[in-house]
Amino acid sequence: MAQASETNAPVRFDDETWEALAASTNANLCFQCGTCTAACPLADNTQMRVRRLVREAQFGETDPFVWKCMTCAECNASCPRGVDIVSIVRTLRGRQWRTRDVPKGLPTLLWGMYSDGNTFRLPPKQRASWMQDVKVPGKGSTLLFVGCAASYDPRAQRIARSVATLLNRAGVEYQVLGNDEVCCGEAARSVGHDALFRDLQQRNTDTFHQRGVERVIAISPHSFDALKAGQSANGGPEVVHYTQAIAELLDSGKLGKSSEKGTVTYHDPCYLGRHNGVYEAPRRLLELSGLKVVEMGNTRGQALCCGGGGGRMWMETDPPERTGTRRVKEAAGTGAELLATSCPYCISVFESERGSETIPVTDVAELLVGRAKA
Amino acid sequence: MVATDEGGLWVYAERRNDGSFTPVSLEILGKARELARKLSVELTVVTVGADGHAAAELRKYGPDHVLELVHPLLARHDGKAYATAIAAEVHKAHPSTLLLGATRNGQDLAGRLAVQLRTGLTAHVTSLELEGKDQLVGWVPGFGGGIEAGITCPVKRPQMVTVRPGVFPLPAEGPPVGDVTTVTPHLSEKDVGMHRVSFEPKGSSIDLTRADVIIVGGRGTGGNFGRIEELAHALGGEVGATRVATDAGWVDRDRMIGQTGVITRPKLVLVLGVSGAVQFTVGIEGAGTVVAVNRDPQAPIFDHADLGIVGDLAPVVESLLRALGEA
Repeated sequence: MAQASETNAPVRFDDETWEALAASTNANLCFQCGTCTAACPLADNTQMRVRRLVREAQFGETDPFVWKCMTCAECNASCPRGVDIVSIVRTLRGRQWRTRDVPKGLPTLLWGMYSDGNTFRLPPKQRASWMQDVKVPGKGSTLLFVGCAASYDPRAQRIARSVATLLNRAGVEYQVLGNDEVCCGEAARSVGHDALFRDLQQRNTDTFHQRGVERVIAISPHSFDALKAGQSANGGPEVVHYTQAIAELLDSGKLGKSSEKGTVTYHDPCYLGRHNGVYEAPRRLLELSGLKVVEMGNTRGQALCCGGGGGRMWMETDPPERTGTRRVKEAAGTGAELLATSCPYCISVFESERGSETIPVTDVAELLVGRAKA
Repeated sequence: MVATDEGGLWVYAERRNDGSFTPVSLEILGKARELARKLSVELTVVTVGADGHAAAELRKYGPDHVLELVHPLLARHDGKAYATAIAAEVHKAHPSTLLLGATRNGQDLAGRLAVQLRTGLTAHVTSLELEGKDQLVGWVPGFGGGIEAGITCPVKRPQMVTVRPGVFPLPAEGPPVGDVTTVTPHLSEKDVGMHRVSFEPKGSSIDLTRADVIIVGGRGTGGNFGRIEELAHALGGEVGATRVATDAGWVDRDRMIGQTGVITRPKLVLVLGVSGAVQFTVGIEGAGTVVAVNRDPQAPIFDHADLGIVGDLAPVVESLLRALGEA
């Protein structure tokens, strides 16, 4: 048989991949207008083209840029046909696990989540080490779900201690799972390993049930999003983000306002904002702290992603492609004295990719602890 | 080496291109030593290559016998040829168990061998238990549903298992023991499945995962990696770096340690001018001794250090170089 030349090589349609996409996404709705590409923060600095990725997906092909996606959902938000492109990305990635055609480091990540229950490959018995001298009431039907980052990352542990301190000041009864907590599984879902995601979900669901949990307060927007998806499907407890829980306490007078002076700009984490529509609660917290909020140009639904979502925390990004560096620059450009956000991934990325910018990066909860009166 | 080794436990020790053994080969050899004692059977370690110089290394890990299969056609891993050579010896000696490391080459060989020997293979186990007289139970985790399957091979022998790298500890070396038998397998060109057309190493050859000594520099070095390289050289180690140091272009990306870089397990790591964010420290979690130098006494890196020095790193590097006779 004559060998096909490169230019007229036969095109192979992968029907199985298309069938998987057709079953779990609405990729068929795409009519290739390209609005997604225009909205994608990677279109400026990479060859990633969302429109092309979706077109290839319709033929059952997987775009090699599928692993660059940060699942920030700017494309979803802009799509006139309501195509859930983030789900397309997750499904395509899932197909690649069959052939182990996945970026270096991701199998290790999943093994750690599977065997140690966290994304750091650190011992499960160190999970409660974030608490230090913070006392937790350990009773009631409300659960503070700490998540891997705030449990193990010393920087993010400060967020967990701040949230716990605020709940304590307001006299809230709540429990934590300590070493019994396992990863929410969001990283597994992001990199396309739905089976592991569901397994971890189940482990947490069982624990919630045993502990009589009726309300979960999540620290990370990634846990918030993942637990919410799993719990609402199971008729499980209500899941809220900590900014929502603290805003309630401030509004009901259980936590006092403050009259601090200064300016702050707020970065909307993708999994709190675009994925879940929580824009007001963190701003309410900042407002009640007395600080003046100065908005960035790209804010709320248009907020530029830090670059840490979609499993990108475990994949290296070349400096010119980093949205984190651009975002810190944008924040500094507002002239605000502080950059506040409410996601441990965003903080970790901003602190690592700030370049020459010196604006301090902080979590909303940390700001309040220093200022809110009990 | 007895002609028949009915009931014996065999371990395949895989050699890399540089002649050294894969760590998992030694890990399973350590585990096999323990199992052989419990089973009261003899432990044979099988190695394959074009030369017969590998036995001395293996004798340090307590085998009863070392079986070397030596043939010019076995110079490099070739699943077909290796399986043919090993199958012939298994047919002669009738071991009851054969363990291999689940490396790429180990998996390639194990599958072919199991077919040639018409026996069962439990792939990628993360733990091994004994059941009954000589029944091995290989535990294999499965993602979906969070199950862990215990798999046995109740009828056929040898029962074959590939073991995932890193699940058993590396055994300590002891005085050399065990006899050595060298066999020249009957092989011809037709037994070889692959022919090397050309060899082009992929990118850089730096592999920090295998370095025993690593000197890591971070932001605090200010980019002065010259003396750090000399120190690494003097200690027979490699230079590693944090993300900040690689972003700054001070060190190549393939030397970056941490969450999006390399996960290392050196015996000694010197961490110079590194604050110690968790995204870095996960990359040295498995290190033996950690020595940290940092100006900030509050730096989180000191929580991970066996020995910490608060101060500028330059005088520390200079004194070390002097002590090593390199200054």
